Amino acid sequence: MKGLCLVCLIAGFFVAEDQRSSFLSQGLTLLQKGEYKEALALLRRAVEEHPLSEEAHNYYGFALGRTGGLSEAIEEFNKALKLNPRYPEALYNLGAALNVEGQYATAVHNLQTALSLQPNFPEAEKELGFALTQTGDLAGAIQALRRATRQRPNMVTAYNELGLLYARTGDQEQALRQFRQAVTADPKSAESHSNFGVALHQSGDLQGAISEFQQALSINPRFVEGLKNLAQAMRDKGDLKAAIVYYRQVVSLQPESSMAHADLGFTLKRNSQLKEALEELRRAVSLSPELARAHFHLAETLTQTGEDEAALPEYEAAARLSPKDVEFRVKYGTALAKTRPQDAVGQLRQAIALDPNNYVARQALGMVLRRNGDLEGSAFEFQRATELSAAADKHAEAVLRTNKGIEYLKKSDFSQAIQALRSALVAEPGFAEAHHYLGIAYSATGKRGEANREFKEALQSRPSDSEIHFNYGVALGRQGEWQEAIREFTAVITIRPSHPQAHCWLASSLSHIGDNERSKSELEQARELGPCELGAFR
Amino acid sequence: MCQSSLGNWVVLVLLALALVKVEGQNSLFEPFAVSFEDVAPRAGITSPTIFGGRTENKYILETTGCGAAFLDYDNDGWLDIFLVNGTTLDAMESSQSANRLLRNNHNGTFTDVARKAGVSRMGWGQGVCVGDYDNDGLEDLFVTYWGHNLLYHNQGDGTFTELTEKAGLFTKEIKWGAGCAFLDYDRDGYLDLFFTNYVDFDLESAPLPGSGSCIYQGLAVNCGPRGLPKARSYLFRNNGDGTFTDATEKSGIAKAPPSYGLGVLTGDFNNDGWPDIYVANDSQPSYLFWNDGQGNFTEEGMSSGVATNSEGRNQSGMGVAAGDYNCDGLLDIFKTNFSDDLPNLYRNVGKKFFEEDTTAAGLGINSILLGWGCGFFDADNDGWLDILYVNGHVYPEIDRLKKEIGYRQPKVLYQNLGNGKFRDVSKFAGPGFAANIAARGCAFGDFDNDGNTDVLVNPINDVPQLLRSRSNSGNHWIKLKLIGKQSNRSAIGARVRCVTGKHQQIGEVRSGVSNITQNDLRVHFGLDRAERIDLLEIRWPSEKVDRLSGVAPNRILTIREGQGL
Repeated sequence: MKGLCLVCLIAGFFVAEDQRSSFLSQGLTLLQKGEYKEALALLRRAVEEHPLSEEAHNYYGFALGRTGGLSEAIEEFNKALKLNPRYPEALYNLGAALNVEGQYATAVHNLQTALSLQPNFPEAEKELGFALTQTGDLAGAIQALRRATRQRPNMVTAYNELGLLYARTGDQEQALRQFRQAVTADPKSAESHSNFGVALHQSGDLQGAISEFQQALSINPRFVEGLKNLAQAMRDKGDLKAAIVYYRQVVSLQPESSMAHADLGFTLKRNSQLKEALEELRRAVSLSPELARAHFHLAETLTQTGEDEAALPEYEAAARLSPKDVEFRVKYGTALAKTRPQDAVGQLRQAIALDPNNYVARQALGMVLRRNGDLEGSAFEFQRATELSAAADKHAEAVLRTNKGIEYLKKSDFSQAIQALRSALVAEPGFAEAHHYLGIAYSATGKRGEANREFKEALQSRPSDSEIHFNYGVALGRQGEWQEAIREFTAVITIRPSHPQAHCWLASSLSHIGDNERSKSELEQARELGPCELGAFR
Repeated sequence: MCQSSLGNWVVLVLLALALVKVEGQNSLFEPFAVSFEDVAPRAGITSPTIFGGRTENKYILETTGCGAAFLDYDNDGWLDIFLVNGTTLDAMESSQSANRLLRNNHNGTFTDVARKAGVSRMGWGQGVCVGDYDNDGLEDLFVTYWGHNLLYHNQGDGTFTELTEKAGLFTKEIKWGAGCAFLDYDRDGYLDLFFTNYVDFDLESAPLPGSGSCIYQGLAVNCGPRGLPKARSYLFRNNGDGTFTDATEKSGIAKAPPSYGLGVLTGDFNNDGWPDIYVANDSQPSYLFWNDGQGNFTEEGMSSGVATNSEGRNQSGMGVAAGDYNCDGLLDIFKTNFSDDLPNLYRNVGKKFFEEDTTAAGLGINSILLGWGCGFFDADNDGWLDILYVNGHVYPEIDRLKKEIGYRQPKVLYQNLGNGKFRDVSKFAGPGFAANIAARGCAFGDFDNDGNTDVLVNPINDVPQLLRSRSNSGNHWIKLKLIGKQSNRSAIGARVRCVTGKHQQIGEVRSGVSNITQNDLRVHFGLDRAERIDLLEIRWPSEKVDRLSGVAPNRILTIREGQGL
């Protein structure tokens, strides 16, 4: 019930003392001290004494909310609002309570009303942000949270929520920025350091992530999430010994957590400490027999130690508990190959049904069929695997060549960039990224027709790629093709409503065609979301 | 009286317990009877192999390192050493890093005669293989490069002449030669040549570290091989007149798609008398080319069960070795792979099929290492082939992460227990196993002719190691130098069967093996305590068969085709 707001008490201080009952005053004092249970009785008396006091109902509701009586709290807030529908704190408290209840749409309504009455209300903006996130209005949520942080620059929770939202919408750069702000606003928040670390980890900055997790743990050495995150980062870095140390700490804090034992076991296995791995993984499956991952790693470890027979039921359990996991099914099928070849075929065929383009599964199936004497069947699977594997190789080639092209673009060596990107398309015709960056390269060299063609090709394969739409829009804008540019920027905003640059460019494009009202609105939105710069391609 | 009986009874029980304990220890707990010591400094091997950047590698070119060879280039019965060398991006023609030809002085020391011999070439040296391609009784050398491969003809006077172009083996384009092997694929008595190429690599257009997915554990590293253009393997047929003709297309080798070929292994895997070829590919299915005896090869690695691991997953194959580890008369294959993976032990079950037995055989315990050169060899001469492989990471940048296992890695030695299983005896293998090294090439041979197989390790940016083997097993051995007459002089492809009582072993004379490396061409058998070899049967590439019986152990025998000892 964190959402419920003691700020409302501030409003209480502006009511004349003699108009307040002593029960109400005493109750407020206890609320301010955090003695909610003690305040409850007094505030109940206050409401009985002054049934027409919206304040009494509001604070009574607050005390109820804090002591576990959420539905009664909501009743009291509604009573307060019936007495005074323009009471911002009660509207806010009601909104916060409805958020906890999961009634997000109604929460949004109440919070928006509170804000219309009291625009500078950062707590309400934060709650509104949360509610809008739940209703799927991510752009609205971002705007609300940004207002919250503008109004209260040290609102750590708002920065964290913003960071999570941006991460969700794929805007890694913004996510990092918000998490960094959270850490700056409250350097002693272990949670904020941990969130920042996760974002850094996802963006590929492993060392930065580790540093943040270590900070989190220096603030709170028993912060389990921080330990888990640090352990995983260490494992990804390859420092298995350190990862094991941290996973052991998680296990000591959460000895009944099967996931903790499973993570530790897996890491021990990777470090070739097979005996200890087996112990941990066995513990994990005994704690949670339904944890597919633990069964799988146990099976793998048993196989590695040569205990194929013991591994089989573990593979079976993993595949049964996680029926859509292709890897589990492939491994199970392979494990069955020598003793139950027909079942092996069945499992591998199921794996292929789940992922027809999985060449590993096809290779495994081919090998089993070959062993069973089905030469024709195995030849078919091997052929298909070869085709799929070749396609994957071609893709890898196209990626490397495209990256080379991007390197040249960054150096403004457009002719080399074009060469590299065209060679990427030779490796994999239709590779969207190559078409995309080729479009940028041609645009930079003034070849409009070629540029537009490349962007269109890119969008054929990736019609929902907001960056391609954006860069195409920029290219069109530079060509003076404003209507087409508007089309592209609108597409970006549909896909990613929180894209500030798209709003910015859309505003500019609209003003070019004379639609100044819409242009102004877009500009405002852009500024809500971030700095507006009509810069280069992204 | 009773007390005395009781006392005896106690003693008997204690003895029995002790016996039981000793038996248990023999199989699992007893330290290994063989110890390796690095005698390179004493031997005069002091200069490092130079290859790429020491702390970071900009390109994949800097990662593969160099091979090494044991050979007897001067026919004095003592193994000499050829160490391939590399260079760096900054000093492509550095005089500091030429190939080394080390002549065995017969006293545990070697002298570098490379310059005098005319083989001190500089460049991005890769692999080496040995074979007497013109049947003049002298071992010749083929050295692969990123650049142009070279054929060195042994003149017999301590020098070599580079005859690549004259022999028809020169290619104008720069290629990345890797593993190679001489083999007589058509059994006409002349050694042909097979080599693979790794990546079609162009320094100008190669992507830079960190590009796209070129990230490893958070570090920006060199790119490849995935995403870089693949390359082809080649087969050149010996015309019998000192020249070769490209038979890649005609033989069917070209039908296999280009790949990232590294290790090359030849052997008669289906016992039909014709040498087959296995290529360990990096990041892709490995190839097994079956020789049909009509001059044609068909690639069937996948259907033979040796292309991937048993789950169908492609692996980064590097070093390869062939040997009959379970003494069933069929050559098995061992392959090393990348880290966080396992090597492969492919057990030959006949009918052109292999089963992967890696974990069942006890080889699943060292998954964290990155394997390169490897070999089957009888370290303790007990008649069962053991396995050794050397390791080293590909990314020197990994040392920045300060992990337990870094760029330099330990070696692994698995003792064959004689029951299809192995045990890890690395920590009992002596001081030569103590120092970690960024190893690449690894050759096996008995350089001091004492009956124990020694190991030569060629690392990256470090001094090579010459691991001298000392054994207190008391086991016997026999070493055979085979000389062909109708068959190629080196007897490459000859199959030897050694029978001692109920125990049978097979061996082959083989060129090129491990990771871009050449082993001693002599065939070695450990004989355990057998005082006599009941039968030595040599099946020559010409199909002639020689048999010797009642052979005494602990010596080096020279056997000529058709003439016996």
